[in-house]
Amino acid sequence: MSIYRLYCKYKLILEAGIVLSLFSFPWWMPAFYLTLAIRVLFFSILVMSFTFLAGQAGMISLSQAAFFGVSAYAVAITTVRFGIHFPLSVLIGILAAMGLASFFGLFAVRVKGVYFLMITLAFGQIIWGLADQWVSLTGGYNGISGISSPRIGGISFANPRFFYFPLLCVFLACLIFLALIKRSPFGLALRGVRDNPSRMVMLGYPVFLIKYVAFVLSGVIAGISGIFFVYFTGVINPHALGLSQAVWVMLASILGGVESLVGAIIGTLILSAMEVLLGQIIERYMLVIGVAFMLTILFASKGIMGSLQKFIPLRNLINAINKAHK
Amino acid sequence: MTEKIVLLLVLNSLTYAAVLFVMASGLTLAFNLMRVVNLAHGAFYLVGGYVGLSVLIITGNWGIALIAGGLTMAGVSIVIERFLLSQVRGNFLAQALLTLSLAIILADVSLAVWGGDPISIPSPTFLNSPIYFFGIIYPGFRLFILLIGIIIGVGLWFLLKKTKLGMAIRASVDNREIASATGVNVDRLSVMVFALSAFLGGVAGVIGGSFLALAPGEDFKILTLTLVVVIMGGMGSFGGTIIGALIISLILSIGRLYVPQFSIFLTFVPMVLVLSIWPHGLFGREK
Repeated sequence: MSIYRLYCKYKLILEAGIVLSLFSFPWWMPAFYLTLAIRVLFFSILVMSFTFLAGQAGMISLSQAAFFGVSAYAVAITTVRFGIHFPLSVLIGILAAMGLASFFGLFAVRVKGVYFLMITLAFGQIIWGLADQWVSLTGGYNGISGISSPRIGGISFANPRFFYFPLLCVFLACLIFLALIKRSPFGLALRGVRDNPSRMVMLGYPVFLIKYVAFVLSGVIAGISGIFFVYFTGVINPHALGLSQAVWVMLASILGGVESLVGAIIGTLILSAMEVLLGQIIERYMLVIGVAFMLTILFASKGIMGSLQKFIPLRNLINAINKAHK
Repeated sequence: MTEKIVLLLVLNSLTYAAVLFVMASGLTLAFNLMRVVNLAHGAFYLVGGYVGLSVLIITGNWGIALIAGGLTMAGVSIVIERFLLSQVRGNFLAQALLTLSLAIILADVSLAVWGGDPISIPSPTFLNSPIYFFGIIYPGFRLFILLIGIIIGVGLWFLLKKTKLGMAIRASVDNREIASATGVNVDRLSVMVFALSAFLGGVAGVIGGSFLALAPGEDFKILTLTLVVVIMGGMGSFGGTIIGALIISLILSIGRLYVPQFSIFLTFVPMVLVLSIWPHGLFGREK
């Protein structure tokens, strides 16, 4: 029996085991690694939003960091400047990301390929410019600090151990939600639009609407990630929605494999681990990111999950054997 | 008083438009022939400016610095074209992402070499004298920049429309295969055009560094503005580039004067207005 068959047979048990062990982290993990796990979880949500859009809809968006940042800024501004707290501030944050995505989408979704990349880059940078220049609201270069995590019924979520559980639940919800969408008729239509928009138009699908909904959806998911980011770090500054962040997200996604949501998590894990390890050794961190990015595009544009499929004795082969036995 | 402010605004925006035009025409040139959206163009600007600064410190001649900044970037771009872009030729998205990775690498290298403090390139002394102009005093150097912008614009127009080389370039833009069949070496032409495009980026860096400042982050700031110009004017159109540069720089100048906290954000308004009517920009074509 091949490993792949074993995997197929016990897939559910394996996945349940992974999820259960994820839930057990806070009880036995040292604080340092728990912090790292939290960072990986919320950045994974952001990278998944990119991967979903890029892999399913073929839209490589450099605006995801802007949606992430806008919801984070919305939470920070409502909390610190207006004293609006937990449930409402989160709602405002998500609405901010949603509003911005629905607005950008109107223009960005109408073009494709390199044009889309360019327009989302310009849009993202303009939001960065706003965060950097509008000092009276955003605090300019220094940003806003002192955003405290909510406290509900005597439990302070400032404690990483408690912060971890809601984050993990939302993370799993986002993962399952996006995976379900991928399998749904909508997901199929999305891939149809990605591969052959003219044919989809001929078949009577509302192509613009399909792409638009996907764009806004991924903007909202990026926004959810931003809310956890700002509550966990307690600080937001223009750097969080700058181009380096957008590129980081893109690199994590492409590194993991743009077709796979699990790839997004793996890519985030690798980049975050690299960040921690390299951050202690060398100063030229962005150089390493840039070179890693270049090498990924030149030699492994399918990413880790994409490359793995080449090595695993392919699904098709197994299906063929199964059919032969019947 | 008001007309003086208006005149000052117009002059300021014209000089800034010159820099944006030189940047955007470089970007457009490379895009037209090679379909490369060069996201490292902002990095070419910054590194070109820094090289110009270093050359100016050694030689003391601004003209040499200008040429050196441009030529260095042309050299760098030839290496990039030959060894990197050629690996993913035909895949436009991969090319754009590759130039983005180069932009990050160049930005970090220039931070390591020239440091993080904003530096300005000293402008040439013989041009520094103020010029009295319809009742206002204006630095002569900025008028000189405007002149350089116009010279480059006319030069490009002449090159593309009046020379045999330009004819070959235009033919290759319209139809690569047929141009190649008539004996145009499109690959060699691509390298030349990409080098010219990078040359313009480096030159823009030296010009921009002389009346603005060179600092980490300026590369992506100028790239954003250049992209806004190009997106608005229509990717690949020189006329659109000029109009886009004029509109964006006028809005930036007005914004800097009256609402400095929104100057970058304001450039967004004309772009969105144009895109809502023409998704591919004023003079853009869908390809």
